Amino acid sequence: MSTRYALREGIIIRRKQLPNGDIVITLISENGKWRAIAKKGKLLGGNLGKLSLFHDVTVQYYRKNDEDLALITQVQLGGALPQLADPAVYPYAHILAELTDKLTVDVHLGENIHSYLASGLRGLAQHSDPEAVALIMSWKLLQQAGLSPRLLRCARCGASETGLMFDIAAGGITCNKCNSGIKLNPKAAAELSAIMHATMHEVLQHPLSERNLHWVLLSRYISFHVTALQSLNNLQRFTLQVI
Amino acid sequence: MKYPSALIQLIRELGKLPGVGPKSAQRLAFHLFNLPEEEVRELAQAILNAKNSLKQCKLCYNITDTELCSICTDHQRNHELICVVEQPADLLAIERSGEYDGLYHVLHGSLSPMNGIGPDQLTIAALFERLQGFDQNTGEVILATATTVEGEATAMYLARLLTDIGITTSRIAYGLPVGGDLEYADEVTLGRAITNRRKL
Repeated sequence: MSTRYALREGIIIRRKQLPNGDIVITLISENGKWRAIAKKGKLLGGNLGKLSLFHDVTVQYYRKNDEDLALITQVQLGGALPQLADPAVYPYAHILAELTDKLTVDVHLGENIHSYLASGLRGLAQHSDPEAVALIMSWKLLQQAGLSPRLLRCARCGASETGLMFDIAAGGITCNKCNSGIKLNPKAAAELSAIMHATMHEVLQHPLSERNLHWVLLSRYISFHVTALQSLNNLQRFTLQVI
Repeated sequence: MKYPSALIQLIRELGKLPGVGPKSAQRLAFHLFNLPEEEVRELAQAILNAKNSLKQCKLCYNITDTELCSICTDHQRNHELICVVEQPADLLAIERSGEYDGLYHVLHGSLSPMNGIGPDQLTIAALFERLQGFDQNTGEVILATATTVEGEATAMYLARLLTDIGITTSRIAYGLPVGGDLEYADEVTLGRAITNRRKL
């Protein structure tokens, strides 16, 4: 096989259909994010069902120069989670995929972000509380990207004693002296600390109580430190009518 | 040699069309230049006419040049069946099959939160408004959105809302293409075909 042909694995996090029937897909793999084009991928054929959103695939691609968009020649399906199309889960899967996409715009994060997204999507498909999974995994993805909020010390002055105010711009909890940001209650603060420091399995043992507060916090934190996510903005409109 | 500015502009505009790259745009521009003036005028007029007269049907949101499209005003068709599709092109594909004689509803997309497409961006509200006078006992809504994750999610979303108001809802069947061999079918299609098998 020519060296211009290569094999690569990844999870499809974005899929754009072009008017001429081609599909441009964005994949996240252990080696980072990359994009490829499937010529006439919209037409009926062997590759159609495999190049769906959230599918784990191995693709053979052709690329003449490094700067060219990889041209997909063959696809092998590694795993699919059809449960992610359930309207009770679907918007959360979009949040994780879009967040991963935005977190990997400039830097190629390695294995961790790929494996965290994979386990997040599996969790959404299998767990009875997909909302909690989405909240937890969103914070975990931010953590993997080095955007973990400061919770143990004041995000403003570095004091060791912290209060219950979360300052989005400062990136964490502030002390009673600085006292700026969104007011959390003790339960929400404890839950956020557990999300950041415990495993997903441990956090899911106790249902998250302050859902709305957690979403507001997450949404504002991502908007300030990453970028506004369309899927997060759409979440309320979507879930109000279905769940 | 530098092209005249009018030619550059024509190439640029043609290059904006789907499936037309810079080289094709250049070929088309030279082809148009070599055409008799009358033919070019007819082409330009046809584009303008289509743009000015075409609109969406007030009932089903299909493309039409009248208030209501020819399908919605056809009394020979079964008005108790509504087939929900994503795009007008999907409607035409079903019409070509010759197997369906009901009405349609075009959503103009599928749910995709990461692309900013929620229920409000589609014609879902218009569908439910239309269903207010629908006979729940004899009527049926067929969900014929694409078999992608986005299309499937849209169908499931609509199915839940339609079931809540007591309307019979069905989903188009998944399966193998006619004349296809099993060994060449992809795993997802084959899996769905097995799951949704029917008794003979």
